[in-house]
Amino acid sequence: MESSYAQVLWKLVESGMTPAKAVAAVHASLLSAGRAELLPRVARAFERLADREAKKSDVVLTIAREKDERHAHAEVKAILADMGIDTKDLKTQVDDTLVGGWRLEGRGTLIDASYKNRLIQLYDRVTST
Amino acid sequence: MDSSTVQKILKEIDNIAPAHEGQHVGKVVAVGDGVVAIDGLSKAVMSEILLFEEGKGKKLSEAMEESGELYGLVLNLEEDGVRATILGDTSRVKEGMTVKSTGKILEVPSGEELLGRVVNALGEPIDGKGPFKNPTMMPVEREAKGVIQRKSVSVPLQTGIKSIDAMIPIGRGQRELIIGDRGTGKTTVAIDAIINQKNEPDATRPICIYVAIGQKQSKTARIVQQLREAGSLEYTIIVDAPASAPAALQFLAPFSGVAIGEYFMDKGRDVLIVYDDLSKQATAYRQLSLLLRRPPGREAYPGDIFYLHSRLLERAARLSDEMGGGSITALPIIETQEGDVAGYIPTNVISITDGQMFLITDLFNKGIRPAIDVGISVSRVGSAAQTKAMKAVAGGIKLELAQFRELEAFMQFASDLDKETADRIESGRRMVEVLKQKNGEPIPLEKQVAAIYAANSKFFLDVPVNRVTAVEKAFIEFLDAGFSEALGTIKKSGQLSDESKKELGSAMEEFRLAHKEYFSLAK
Repeated sequence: MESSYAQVLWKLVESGMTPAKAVAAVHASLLSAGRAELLPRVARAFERLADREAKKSDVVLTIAREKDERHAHAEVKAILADMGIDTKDLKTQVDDTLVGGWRLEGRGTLIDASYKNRLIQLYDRVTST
Repeated sequence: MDSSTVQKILKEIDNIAPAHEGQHVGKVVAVGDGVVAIDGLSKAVMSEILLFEEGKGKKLSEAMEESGELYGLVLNLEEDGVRATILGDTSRVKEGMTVKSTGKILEVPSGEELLGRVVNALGEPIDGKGPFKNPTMMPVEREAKGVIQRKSVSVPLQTGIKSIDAMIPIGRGQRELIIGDRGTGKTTVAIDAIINQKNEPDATRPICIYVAIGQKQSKTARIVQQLREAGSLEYTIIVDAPASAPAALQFLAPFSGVAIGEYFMDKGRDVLIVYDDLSKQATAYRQLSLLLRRPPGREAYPGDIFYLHSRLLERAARLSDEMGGGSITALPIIETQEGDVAGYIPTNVISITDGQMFLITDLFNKGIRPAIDVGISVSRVGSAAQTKAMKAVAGGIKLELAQFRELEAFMQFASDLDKETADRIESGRRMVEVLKQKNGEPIPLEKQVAAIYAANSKFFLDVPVNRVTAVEKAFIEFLDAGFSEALGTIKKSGQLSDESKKELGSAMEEFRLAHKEYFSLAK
């Protein structure tokens, strides 16, 4: 229930309504339905929703070693441009299990150019033939 | 490592170009009860296969040791994401896991190498005989053949069960429902039908598929053993989604079975498929639908429960000659509660199928097996496919039995009966005995015709009722030994000519003379 109200709140603000007006509208709706006590829970659901939405827009570049960062950045530059993402919005993290290469993930897309991925593909192909 | 392996590895490395191609992905936000909620995947399509990425954060060696890939099946498309069912071990899915879109619809392997094998609902072998080498992949969800691509049912499918082949005949391409309470012999009827296909010539013998849905694995193992012992496993495929399997696999199993069957139908072969049973599939689908938060309807089943069964059973068809002339005959099974055939799922499936055979607990307890109530059982299209020989002898049986049942009830209140009524009752009693049959012992058509012809000719009237079954068996053995030519003629021509009738008449005479002890009621 509260997540539906939170979604309404989100959409009202997204559509251009000021936060104050949006909250007032949702509050009025809760009052008229006799559900005013839900408001604190709506706030918590809204927080979760905002967190999820923020994660959705995150674009993460994962590299195997810190020293690979410059090289990886150079390689993903064109890809980021195609995706309409500013390099400044890119978060970088290190995951040594990748062995080498890089992995770009975010906004519903995954580009895995890590050595780990290639080695697993190779292993699967060799063992399945 | 030898040099050829090294060369192979180097060649494979050359083949792998740096992959910069983007994959469409989503993230697991919730998982439980075999259902997973995924954020993203805005381009996913219904029934698409998803791949869970389990290797993330794991070391290379651990990632390679993963026990097979874990797949999901998209069942709900929602505003912000999708809901999917996990086709495997739910405990392997974790929150935040990346899920990749594959762009593929669920497929199962099919082909000749599946014959004699036991597979799960995903078509993976579970009989320990190793993987399939070169299967053809068939889509699990496929539109049923259209009107133009079909032709009407005209070829009989012999079940080897006298009461069915005589009174509720089944044609190739038909959908005949087997319905009854638990423990009334529904599975036995279906398995006997599969075993009886051994009597068919190789060229026309249907491929048999037995789909076990929500059954105990011990029962399925027993059926496999029974088929093996009867020599029927070689033309049978078992699809097993046991009671311990996730609801998703129980819901998918019948569709996988029919997809496997369609491979053979497309090749012009005949297929007999048994769904044992669709009540359990409906229950699994209800469970899945409720977990997917679809709105519940009557008895908490989802609104599309009718469509679930209709789209499955519509895939049974007899194809036109232009399409190869193959067929799929479906024998769905429905389990009723306390004989209530007016329940939601039974009435749905009754309305979809081309006839039904009701198995009744009372008859079963009276020792009448198969416990088919011929009064309310029908086959709507099968009579067009019935062989002429059977039609010639079976014409009046249904009416005779119906009259007998009425008189039998009346008999309890009347002590003195006129001769005609008494004769009719005596004849009916013997007909009931003749139609009795042990399980796992299907009878070829020509022998069925001979037995029913004898019963129609009042051959058993002088035999005590409790000995009719034994005398019938002895008579069939007598025919086998001395009149095999007459039986062969019936089998070959499918007709009961005057010549054959004459031969059967003289066989009855000879048998009567040779075994006077059987006919102790003769005056």
